[in-house]
Amino acid sequence: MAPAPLISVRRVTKHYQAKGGRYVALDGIDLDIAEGEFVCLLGASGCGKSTLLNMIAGFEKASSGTLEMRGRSIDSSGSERMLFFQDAGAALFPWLTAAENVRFGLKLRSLPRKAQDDTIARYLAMVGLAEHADKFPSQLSGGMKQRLQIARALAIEPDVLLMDEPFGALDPLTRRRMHEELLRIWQQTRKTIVFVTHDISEAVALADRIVLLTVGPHSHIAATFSVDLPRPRQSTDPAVAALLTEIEGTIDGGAIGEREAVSS
Amino acid sequence: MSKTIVEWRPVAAEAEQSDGGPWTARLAGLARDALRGPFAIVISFVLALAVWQALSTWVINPYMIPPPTVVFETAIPMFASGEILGSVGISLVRVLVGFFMGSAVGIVLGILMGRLEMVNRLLDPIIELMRYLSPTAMIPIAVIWFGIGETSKYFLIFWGCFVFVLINTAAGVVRVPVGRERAARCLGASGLGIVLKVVLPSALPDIITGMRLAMATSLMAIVPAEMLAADSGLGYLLQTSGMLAQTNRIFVALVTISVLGFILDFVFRLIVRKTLGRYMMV
Ligand SMILES: Nc1ncnc2c1ncn2[C@@H]1O[C@H](COP(=O)(O)OP(=O)(O)O)[C@@H](O)[C@H]1O
Ligand SMILES: [Mg+2]
Repeated sequence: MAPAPLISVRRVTKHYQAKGGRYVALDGIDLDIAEGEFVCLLGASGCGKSTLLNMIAGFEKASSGTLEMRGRSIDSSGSERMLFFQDAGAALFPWLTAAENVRFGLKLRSLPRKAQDDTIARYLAMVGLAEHADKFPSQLSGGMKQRLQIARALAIEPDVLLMDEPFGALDPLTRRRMHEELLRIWQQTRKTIVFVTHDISEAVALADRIVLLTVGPHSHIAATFSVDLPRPRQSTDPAVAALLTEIEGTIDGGAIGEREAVSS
Repeated sequence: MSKTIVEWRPVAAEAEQSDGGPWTARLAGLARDALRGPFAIVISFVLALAVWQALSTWVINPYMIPPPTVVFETAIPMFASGEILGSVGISLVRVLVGFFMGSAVGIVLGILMGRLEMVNRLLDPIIELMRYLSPTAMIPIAVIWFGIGETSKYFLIFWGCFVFVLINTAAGVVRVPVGRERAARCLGASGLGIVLKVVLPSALPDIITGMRLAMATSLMAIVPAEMLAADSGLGYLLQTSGMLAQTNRIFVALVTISVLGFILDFVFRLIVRKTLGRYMMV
């Protein structure tokens, strides 16, 4: 196999205390993520994607199993792993302008003011918000808020972007543009990206590797698909269409179905 | 923040057609238009004063409710002698001291309650019971604790304030989006930094709401506070006028307290808008 993975998830389970006893959300997740890789976690809503992402981020603890980054156990959040949220309006600081939102993390690193200004300008330009530096989040559209969230995160140069359905609330046209921009930024910065989605075509458009989860309870990995296709990927491209069909077939064939989850 | 107590939704378009129809409908339409305009407040006051004047001239014994003209005549010498402004000044100091102490304690305890489950479990039942004790109810114990000087007056106003600020602060703190806090942690904030740079600014709209409620209560508390061996202030003015059965002076004091409250709220909102405007956006 390739060199040591950046992130490795071993036999991870997660259960919650519920009314009728414990609810096992995730059961036996094994996953390696390489440096620079773009991985999509694909699964029906409620299957445990956010839970897994939050464990990688260090905001939730696994009930059993281990999560490591560069061989070190993940037991708290850290600025090398940046979590993204679908609701950018809530994640941003509404009382700060776009530039000040980006400055937030830079100030905490006690960067000199001049370096802060340069970094802010560079990343706002990268996401196409240079003209909107002095606007408050409430004055930005949904797509612009997401781009600001991306700029704010990139500015502190994390190694890993953990994105939880970041474009789920956007209209299809804006979402397509965001895909293009995210891929461009990824190719430019070579960050490792773990991207959660319940949208098959979104996963196919973006990922190097698609990790398909079964529905809960006892959710685990049903299948993984390596996607070695050039980007941008058009749905009319026969190879892309074939992959879509393959994933849909896997899902329709019962790979993520409830029968299997219950019987395991 | 709403300007009026009840926000009316716009009436359906056809109901607004005031041309044509009987003259009563036309008049109603005119009145409706007038009350939607910028002079609604003036119209409201002028009408109220007119009704008040008419009632206490022809219907009610003017000793019970002196007409506005009499209240006005009574007020002029009280202004000229400095009696009113002096009382306002003294009460204002008491109100502001109690209000700011109450707000400070309410904000600190509210943040602690909103952030720390243990503190919440410990304090919540007590707060729930204390809510029902008005400043008036606290007079006897305030005298024993703080004597009859200024301190007990501050305390009674503080008492009227802090629960409102505390409850609203705690609610605002609990409502801070999980995603915002987590994002801030990823960006490198932690500990007190999270509280000061994320939680406090996020909860500020709720804190301000609590402080506006508290401001109103502190004016209500001025009367019980100045029942205690006071020799000055609006509450004192109200009481002495009551003991001497001078209804016209009672009305001057009542009007002054409500106008003072109105002005304080206006100034408070103005300061908030000028200095904290960016925190009021959601
Ligand atoms: N704090 C919690 N307490 C109890 N159950 C939870 C909690 N968080 C998530 N769950 C449950 O775990 C399962 C997975 O949730 P989640 O990770 O949010 O799913 P997804 O992101 O795939 O939609 C769901 O059934 C959810 O109800
Ligand atoms: Mg989710």
